[in-house]
Amino acid sequence: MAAGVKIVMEVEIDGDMAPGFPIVRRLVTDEAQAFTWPWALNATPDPLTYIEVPGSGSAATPGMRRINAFLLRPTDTVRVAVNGQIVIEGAPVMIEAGGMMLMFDGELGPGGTMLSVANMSNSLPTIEGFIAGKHLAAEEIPCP
Amino acid sequence: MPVVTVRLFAELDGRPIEDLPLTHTWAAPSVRAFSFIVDDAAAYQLAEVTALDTWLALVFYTSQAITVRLNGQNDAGIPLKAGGVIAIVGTRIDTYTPWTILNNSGQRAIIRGVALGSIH
Repeated sequence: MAAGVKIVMEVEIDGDMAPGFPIVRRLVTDEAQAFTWPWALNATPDPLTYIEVPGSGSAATPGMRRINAFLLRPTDTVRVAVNGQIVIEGAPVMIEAGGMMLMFDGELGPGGTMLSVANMSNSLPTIEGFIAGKHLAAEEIPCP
Repeated sequence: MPVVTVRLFAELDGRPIEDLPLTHTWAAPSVRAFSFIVDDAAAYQLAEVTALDTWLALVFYTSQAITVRLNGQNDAGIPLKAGGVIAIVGTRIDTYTPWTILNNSGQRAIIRGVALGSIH
């Protein structure tokens, strides 16, 4: 069943709307899910250990075949690797506690690890957000 | 210092997502509202928005399909469709190449948005 996702984004500079904003975007995908993901692995900064965002899917795990939109909101500092990004220390984008990362109307995948997170804090972050994307296309389902 | 507020509303299937809208407000030494053109090309191009040494937030959208690499990334990048949006708030991007853009859509892409940061 199709899922609809809509965002409205406003950016103000000194109380005035920035040029080109607000923007409204809509997407229809196969699936969209909001999540609250309590980190359970390590309560120390570990810049080289990335864990897939639940439900995001990869070559090795079930989930979405492609991600068209995501929002991540960590309670503590994390790094976010996107679209099979090669993880070297300091490279993936860092999101500080209370920050956010949004992609809307993109296309991650298929294959590889589309969306993963490393804890960069001395605590166990909770990551809230949503992902929306597509399942396997009919032509991609392997024959038995 | 200029004060920037980013506010995000989001709905899944017509229902607001819990805890939204998000509102982030900062005062930062420098803000750049930008709109620039990226010509069709076969290679990644260093995106404009000069004079920010450390980026604390970046919000932008594109008029054509592009691929974006952030924070010195040199692999697959983030593919966006025409109209696609990226918003990164509460970050710290301070590499020599904070973002590069590949536009092989066949048309000129207009990139529009706001960057917030500091100058050393």
